Amino acid sequence: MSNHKLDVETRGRELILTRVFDAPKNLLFQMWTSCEHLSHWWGPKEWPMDECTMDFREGGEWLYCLRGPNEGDESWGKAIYQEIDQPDKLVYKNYFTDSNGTVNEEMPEMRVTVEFIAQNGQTKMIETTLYDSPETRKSVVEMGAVEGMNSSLDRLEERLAEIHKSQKPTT
Amino acid sequence: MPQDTLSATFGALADPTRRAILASLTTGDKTVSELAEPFDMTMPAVTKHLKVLEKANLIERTRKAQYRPCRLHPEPLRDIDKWMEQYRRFFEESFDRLDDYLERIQAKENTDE
Repeated sequence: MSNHKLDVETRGRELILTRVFDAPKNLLFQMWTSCEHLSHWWGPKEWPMDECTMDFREGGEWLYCLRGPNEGDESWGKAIYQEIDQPDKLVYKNYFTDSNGTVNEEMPEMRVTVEFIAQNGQTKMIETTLYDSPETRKSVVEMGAVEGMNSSLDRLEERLAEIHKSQKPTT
Repeated sequence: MPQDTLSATFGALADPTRRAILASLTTGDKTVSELAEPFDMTMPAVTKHLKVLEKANLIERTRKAQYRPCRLHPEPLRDIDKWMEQYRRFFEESFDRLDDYLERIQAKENTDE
């Protein structure tokens, strides 16, 4: 395995993950666009992708299931492609769903942008997630004054304060 | 973490009045009438919101005489924090696997040539 590290950054309502891979941009783009490739890497080691159907076109859907180590551990998700700009960029909305692909309306919706930038034979991949439930974030900011919050929530709160400041429209 | 608990938290936080109620409780316990004061709402309407918050485990109603003041219960909010942490870890682990997979398929391509 290479020594490339994941870089994590928050900016406004966005969470930005950046990592460099030792592969050309075209190949990296392909990794995202077929069930065959995704089955080798999508999901944590203990929660690999176990089912996948994909209609790769703008407006098309990708439905997948991750299965965990215990009987009955499963998590369904769906992506709807918003923008496909091969091999530079991919934009999709991500939802929590049931096995039929029915969206769980109470969970936050996320808009994910994946960008691929070639650099010296490697590819920098930037995955930006925009949270579409700013009210939730805001309310957590308002909670910041609560006594006894743990330090990790304090860190979250700092990030959220930033989000609160920059937040204007609701998507 | 159980997804239904998280959705209960997100569901409860989805309403602006309920968020305002929670924000108000960050300064200390309050009775239902104290909570109702800043809103142009009837007591039953406020009580309805409190029930949602109570069900999501975001507040608790203490048993102090007839007042039953409400108290903030921040634990579910920590779950949201944990969930965000999980989200980051999801990609960290996936990207590690992607790295290995890319190495394997590129090595294979080179031997094929």
